[in-house]
Amino acid sequence: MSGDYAKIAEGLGAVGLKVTKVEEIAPALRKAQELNAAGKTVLIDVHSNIEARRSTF
Amino acid sequence: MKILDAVATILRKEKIEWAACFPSNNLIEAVAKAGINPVMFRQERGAAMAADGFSRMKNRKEFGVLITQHGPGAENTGGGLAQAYGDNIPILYLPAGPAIATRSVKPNFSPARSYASISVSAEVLFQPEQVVSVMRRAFHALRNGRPGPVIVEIPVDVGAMEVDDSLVDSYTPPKRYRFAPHKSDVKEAVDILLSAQKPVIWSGMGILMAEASSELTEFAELTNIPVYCTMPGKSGFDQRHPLSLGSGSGATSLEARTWLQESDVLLALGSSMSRTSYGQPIPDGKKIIHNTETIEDLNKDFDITCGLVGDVKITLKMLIEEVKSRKDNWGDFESVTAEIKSIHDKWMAEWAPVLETEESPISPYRIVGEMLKELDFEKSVVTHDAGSPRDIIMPFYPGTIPHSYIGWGKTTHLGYGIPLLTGVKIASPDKFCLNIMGDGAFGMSGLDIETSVRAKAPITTVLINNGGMATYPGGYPTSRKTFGTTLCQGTMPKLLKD
Repeated sequence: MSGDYAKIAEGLGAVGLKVTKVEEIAPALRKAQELNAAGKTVLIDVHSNIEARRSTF
Repeated sequence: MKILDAVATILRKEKIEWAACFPSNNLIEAVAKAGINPVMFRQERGAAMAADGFSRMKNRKEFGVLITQHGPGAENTGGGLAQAYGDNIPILYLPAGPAIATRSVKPNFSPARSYASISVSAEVLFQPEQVVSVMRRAFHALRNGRPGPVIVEIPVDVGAMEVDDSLVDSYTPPKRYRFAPHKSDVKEAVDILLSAQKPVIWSGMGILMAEASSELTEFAELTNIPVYCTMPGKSGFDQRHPLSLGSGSGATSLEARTWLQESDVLLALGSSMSRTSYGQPIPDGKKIIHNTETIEDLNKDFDITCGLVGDVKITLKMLIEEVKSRKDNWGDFESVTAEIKSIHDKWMAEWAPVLETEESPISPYRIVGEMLKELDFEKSVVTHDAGSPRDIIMPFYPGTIPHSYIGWGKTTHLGYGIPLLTGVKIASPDKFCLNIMGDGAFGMSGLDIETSVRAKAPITTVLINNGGMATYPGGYPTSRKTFGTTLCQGTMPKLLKD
């Protein structure tokens, strides 16, 4: 099930944004808001870790 | 006119403007001719979830409508209906059914029969003269009683039957009726609250449905009682308010956990009070005051002390009036909010660095941390997906104004976020709509990105691409190490070699 999801989104008519560094997250979120306002659907593909931490008690 | 045209005409009388559908049913053509936009999804479950998302935003004033084919179309819809039923969301489902003569012959599938247990009303439209009464009962059930899916099955050989135009003209939309709890129960509730050492408010989705957020805020401020929002009730009380304890799934804030564990009296407002493994537990031994419209929910999962059966907005107004009529001391706002803040600050001292982590690959917590800075909370609608995205975002991203966050999930269907938000965007086109999901969830509904594009309902999906699924803490270490079961990267041969 691995995939380049940003490319998949592009293939479906949306805009795909790939994020691999933390400093790219905020610009991608800003860009997504602009693109949505302009009528474009967006997928932000964030290359992430498998996060184990949870705020549970 | 034909029955399908009659149903479409009645939908227009009910001000239905669009319907989610898949893949083939002559009712799709009939509603289109009536001026209703049929939005085709990529699978039935997605269509159901978009109808669900639309209804969530409309507070029982408008409803998501779902149309599917008979047979496989109806059979594939079960997951979406079960999610709406689990979360008490009113949607109208109009499937085709088997021809009357074959309905009772196995293995023909009747959605009204098979989905009766995951709907609040399910009936079959057999004859032309029934069309008005069936649809009247359907919309009555959408507006009144326990909210949930309402099914009207139309057999494939019934839709083309002729019905008298004058009968269809006689259709009048049934009203929503609101009712109040008994005054003596309201007095008893206030007496119980006054005797409490550490009360807490458990604010459910009914607050959103009844548009009772301002009354809830007034009541909390009058009584200085802290407010916890359930997951479906998230955004019913502004989490920026000093009396807010936040919200929770299995994960929550320390202040929420503290009050839910230590409180001696719990006032549940607009909540079904259903035990769920996807919510916070309520320890035994508390006095519980339970407000709900659905009397069957009293004493269901909890032994309650006092029931307030009625609309939560009316109930809160009565509680406010009762509190104001007394001279009692309701504690000190400053000391209660200072205690909440102290616990919150202790909790965030641990978590603030996690939301700012520079780790590579990127932690999903950093995504949430950036969302806190970049999104306009009041102009956005945010939702999670099932599993780890839910538990990562739920404690930290605030619900602010009503429906600024969709906290779905007493049952949690993977992949719900994309179609859900497409329905939300159709309901609220001026909002920035963002869902956060994992790659496992994308596999369930990713193609409905295309529906969002085609329906001109632009949403943003943030995909946590980590090559893993079912990443709950603990997980399945043997299964993962030996067989790569929960990995999505095709690395099994390497793992086997290791």
